[in-house]
Amino acid sequence: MAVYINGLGIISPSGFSGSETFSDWEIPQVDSRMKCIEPEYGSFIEVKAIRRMSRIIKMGVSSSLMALKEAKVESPEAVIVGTALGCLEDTVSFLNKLVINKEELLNPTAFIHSTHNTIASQIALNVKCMGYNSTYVHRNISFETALLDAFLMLNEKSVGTVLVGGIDELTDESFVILQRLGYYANKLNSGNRDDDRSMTAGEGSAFFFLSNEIMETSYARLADVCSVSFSSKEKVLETAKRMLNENGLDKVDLVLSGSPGSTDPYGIASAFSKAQAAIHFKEFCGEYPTAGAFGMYVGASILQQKKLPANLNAVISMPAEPRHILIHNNFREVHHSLILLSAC
Amino acid sequence: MQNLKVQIVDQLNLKDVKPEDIGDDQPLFVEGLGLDSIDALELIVLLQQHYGIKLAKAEDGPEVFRSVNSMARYITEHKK
Amino acid sequence: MTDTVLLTGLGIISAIGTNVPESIDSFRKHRSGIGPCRYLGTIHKNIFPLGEVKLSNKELAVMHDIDPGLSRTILLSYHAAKAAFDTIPDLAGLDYKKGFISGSSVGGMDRTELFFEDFTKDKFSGDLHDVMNHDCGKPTDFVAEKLGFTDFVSTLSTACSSSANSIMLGSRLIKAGKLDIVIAGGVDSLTKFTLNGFNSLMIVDKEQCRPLDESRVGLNLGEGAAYVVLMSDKVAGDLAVSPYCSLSGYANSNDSFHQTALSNEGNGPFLAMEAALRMSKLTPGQIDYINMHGTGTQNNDMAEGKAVERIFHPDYPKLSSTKSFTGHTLGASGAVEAVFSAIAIKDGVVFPNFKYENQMSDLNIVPVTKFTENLKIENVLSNSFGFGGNCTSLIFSKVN
Repeated sequence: MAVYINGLGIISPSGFSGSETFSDWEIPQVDSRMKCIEPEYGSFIEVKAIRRMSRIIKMGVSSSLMALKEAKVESPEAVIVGTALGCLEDTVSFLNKLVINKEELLNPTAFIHSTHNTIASQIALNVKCMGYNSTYVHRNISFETALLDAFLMLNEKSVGTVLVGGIDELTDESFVILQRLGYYANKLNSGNRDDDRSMTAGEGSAFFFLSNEIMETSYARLADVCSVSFSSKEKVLETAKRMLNENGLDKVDLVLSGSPGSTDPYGIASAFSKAQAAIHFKEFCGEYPTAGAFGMYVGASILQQKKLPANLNAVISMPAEPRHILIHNNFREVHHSLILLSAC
Repeated sequence: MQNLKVQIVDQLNLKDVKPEDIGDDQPLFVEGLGLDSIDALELIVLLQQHYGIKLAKAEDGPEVFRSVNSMARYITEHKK
Repeated sequence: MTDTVLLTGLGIISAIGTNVPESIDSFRKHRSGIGPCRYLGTIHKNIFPLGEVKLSNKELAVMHDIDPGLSRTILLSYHAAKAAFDTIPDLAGLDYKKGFISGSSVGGMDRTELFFEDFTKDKFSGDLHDVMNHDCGKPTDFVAEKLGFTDFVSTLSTACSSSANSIMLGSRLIKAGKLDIVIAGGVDSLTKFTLNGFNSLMIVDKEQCRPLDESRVGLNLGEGAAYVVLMSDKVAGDLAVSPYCSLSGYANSNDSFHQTALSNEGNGPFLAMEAALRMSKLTPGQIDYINMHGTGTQNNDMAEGKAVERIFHPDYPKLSSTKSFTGHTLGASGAVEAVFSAIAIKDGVVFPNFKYENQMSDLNIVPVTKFTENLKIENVLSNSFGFGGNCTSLIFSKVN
């Protein structure tokens, strides 16, 4: 059963859907962190509903509504979200109060909005979907597992449409903690702008409307998705090879890589990309657990526009009309993910 | 009363509402301001935080929080 | 590809026991695990009775030769998952695709809240060891790697239905031919974060909770972990393992009414139960026992009760809420109750409510109040309904 990406909604450090198209986006200036450029949320969500929503919920609900609007659909049959760190702002707010007020006088709103599934349930409330609803929270494959679930559902034919997305926010506190834990580019600082940029802390929200039906405006076909965990480099390459072969391919036209810097540490691009080099999508969104969703957005956009955006400045030779793109994402080796997109 | 209205707007993050626009007898829940059960719990925190009053039973909420007037009356009666 | 997924192994730890036999014995002896807590450092220690596991972190760590400084969530998860794992025959030399799927609502929060005691005052203080396992996926990774179940690893977080959804996903992956053997379930440990969070919602009881009772005022928080081993009937046959039961039906719906409350008529619960029945091809009359979500809150028990009556009226099966014994174990509850459901079928028993005196005035249903044996239990419905309207129902059936 073919699965098509018929709508998408993005809020990222490079821009958001509805503003200029991807190919006009500016690559963010490198600083210690990349912050999302946000739309006017009031144009998507009722004022009465907005008052209680923290930033990440506004981002998730808005990008979901953007995706549905583009697909010209009121409501999906299922909502699946991937978010590794969930609603950090509300979690930290409640934790701080817990300490300062010594377990007294605590605000219920912060608590009820701190749970990871708040995003998926607020989306369901706003798009009026009483169908299947799930949230995946497994580190840097949270989005890809959500996507696998969506892909499975559509192949099981239990639903005909799914809204699926990946979202993580960066707050002042989480940035300090993750820096202290050594997550970002301190070690690199190689002087190479590309390397530093894709190890910079980032955040974002990317939601996709998937359907069994192809439309004139469909972005791309989601051909396959999987995760590879606790495996050797050889196993990662073997899994990628098997994925391509099962889809009738030896190579793809382009590899989008979530590996840090401008390196190709797993040899995915050199093994499988006709273009040889990879494009490092985290240059546009920074490093965060569900950045793979942004990568899928980049891949889908390239396939729909049938060209490589000029602002990528990539020294890449690619066929005039790319037909297949492989997105490889990982963070610190433990979990890898592979998403295969094909032109419609 | 005006002070109480400011506190309500603040506690419930009612961004689009000006304190002076809340009528003294205007229903706060369902119609009127359209507040819900979570807002009721936040108002319970407000009572404790600003007035030292502990509302033991959530079920008393609807009566106490019916309007700004009923809240003010309750505070006057129970303030420590 | 298979249509039949079997439960062949169980592992559990909760306030009523550190393994399956101990847990069942607690029901038999009508001994609730809810009471004053020993290990959770909260100012509410003597106010709210809790369903605490009766082992310290150090004791759990020593049992399994693990670092006692790790999050309690990791310790509980490993304990239960290892027990489930130990029921699987030696797989050396066999090329099965193995997956580990866990559900949790707050992950390593028990240590994170310790970190914040320092961090809140000074952003450069706080022991990083306390916060490095914060995210829900870390406990899952620890356990998956230690058990060697790493072909597929994932964590779900849908509040109180988390581990029920883990079990559902495990089954779907087996049916799709992606995995052969899955250990699926969930975990949550007691934290000040959740205790105070639920207290701020004024839905925690200062006494032993009374699910489905007219006088109920709220839940008792609990902790625990539980995992089931899932495999196709073919793999079970090849490994010569005999199953507890099959997972014959499941469904996930969203109540889509309010962030923390279910709709009065229980629409989300109704949709989940109805869809699970449809999938299992069973009529309501064929369900022998319902393990209710039954938290003891005004809202849940009314909404769930109404939904049960919409489907089962006028012939109600035996039903109860085992949360009156274990407390509400949040992310673990779906799997904890899956374990009890499997035992209900295997041993022909139903579990009681711990304390029940007054029928709910708006409902006809009355829970079982005594542990009952020597029953023919062929089909069990287990409900898990969470914050955010996340509703999941699982149906377990006897295998001939």
